[in-house]
Amino acid sequence: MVSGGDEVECDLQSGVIVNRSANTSAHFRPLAPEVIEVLEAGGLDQLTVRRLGLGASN
Amino acid sequence: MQMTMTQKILSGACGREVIAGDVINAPVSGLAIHDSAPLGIFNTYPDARVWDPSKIVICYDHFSRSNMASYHDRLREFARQQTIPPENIFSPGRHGISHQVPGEAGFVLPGTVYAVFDTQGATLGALNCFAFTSLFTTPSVMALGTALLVVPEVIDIELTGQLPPGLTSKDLTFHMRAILDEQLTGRALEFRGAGVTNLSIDQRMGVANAANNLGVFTMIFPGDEVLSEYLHPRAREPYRFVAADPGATYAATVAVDLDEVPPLVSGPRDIEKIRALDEVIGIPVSAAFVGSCSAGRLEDLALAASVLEGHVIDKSVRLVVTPISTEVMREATARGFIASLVAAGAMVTPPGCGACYNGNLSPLLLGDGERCIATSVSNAPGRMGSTSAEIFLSNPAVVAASALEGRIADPRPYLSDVRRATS
Repeated sequence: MVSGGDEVECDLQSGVIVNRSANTSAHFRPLAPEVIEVLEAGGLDQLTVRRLGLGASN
Repeated sequence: MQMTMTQKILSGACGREVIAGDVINAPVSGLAIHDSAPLGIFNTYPDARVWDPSKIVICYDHFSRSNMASYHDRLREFARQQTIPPENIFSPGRHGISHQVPGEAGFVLPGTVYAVFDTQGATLGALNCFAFTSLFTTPSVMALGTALLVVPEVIDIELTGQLPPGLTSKDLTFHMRAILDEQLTGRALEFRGAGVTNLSIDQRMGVANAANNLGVFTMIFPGDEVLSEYLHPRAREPYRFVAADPGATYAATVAVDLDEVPPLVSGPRDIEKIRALDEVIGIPVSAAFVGSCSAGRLEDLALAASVLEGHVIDKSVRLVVTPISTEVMREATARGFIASLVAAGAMVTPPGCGACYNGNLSPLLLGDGERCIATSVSNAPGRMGSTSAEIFLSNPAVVAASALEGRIADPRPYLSDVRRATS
């Protein structure tokens, strides 16, 4: 459903991929909230630091 | 819901029923690290604290050379900052491999989730727990006490029969590699059946050690009398065995008859290149190694000693033996195995990873073009020294017999005393 140069939008939370160039879409199993949380934090270490309530590194 | 052991253990840890494919933050009961473990956020954030200092175990196993002392200093300082109890720090004199010592010392109990930094962390699944490799998520697990996991699908392995004399977990795992044509990656193997009782804890640990090599996430053995006896003098807390429910859902069920396991050899250069011992007999070797987290346990040393008893190794071969832990070295000394090994011409080193890990204390650094037969975990080029050296992997009896003859040899003519030595 995707060709080189297509503009594609992917929503990891809802599990939808939209090909804006071809005006098509498809569904996939959404990422688990636990994984989204890691991605939003910028990685597992960053999420861990946030959970520990630690600020900027020294 | 009818559950696998994997589901029961992870559901118990999470406080809710989980199924294969679920993404979970699983609370762990403990975590073991060794001298090359990353400290990550603990270096970056001096105020970061481990979730429970009493649950962290530190083992020195990979590095022992004096010029690598900084690896030990780093962890000593970490332990001091984090108030990890001295009891949990296995320094030289008490040390051994990080996925052996926590079991020996009673930190790892049935029904629990146990994390190990090392790639072979699944070894501890021999103790009826969900043991896994935390690798570079280790700092996060140490800080939070939870591990981000996907609940694996399970392959059910029914074991029957008994391994033929002189064969070990090494042959069994090579045999499993050869016969399992199911998808293995990311799945867990759970064992059951009458054959389990015929495998000692040493052999079960040797089997579970191969999880990483087979590509499975972990392996879990059931609880039984054999495991009860092992845990009786060790367990630091009360525990209960976990058993799979009849009717639990498996990705596949595979029967393995231990009586049918042949002597097998892996390599060189590729762990998946597995051949019958008969096909490689006679290939010259100049180095031989008994040890590693795959096969440096008491039964492995006993088997090698029984083959060597009353013989002297070929003068063209360097044979090095490294016990997996101080406990194993102490017991092997008490039973006379160390004396037999040394009398035959083996060099016995302090406990640890030994020659399996290039860069440690072991004198068995392979030179260019050398050929070695070893009980190690890996035969990847460069694993034990020169990248042009060849490494064959086999059980300890084959290694010992090969050291006697200077070429890959069949140990069966030397095995008459095995039962006496291991009883």
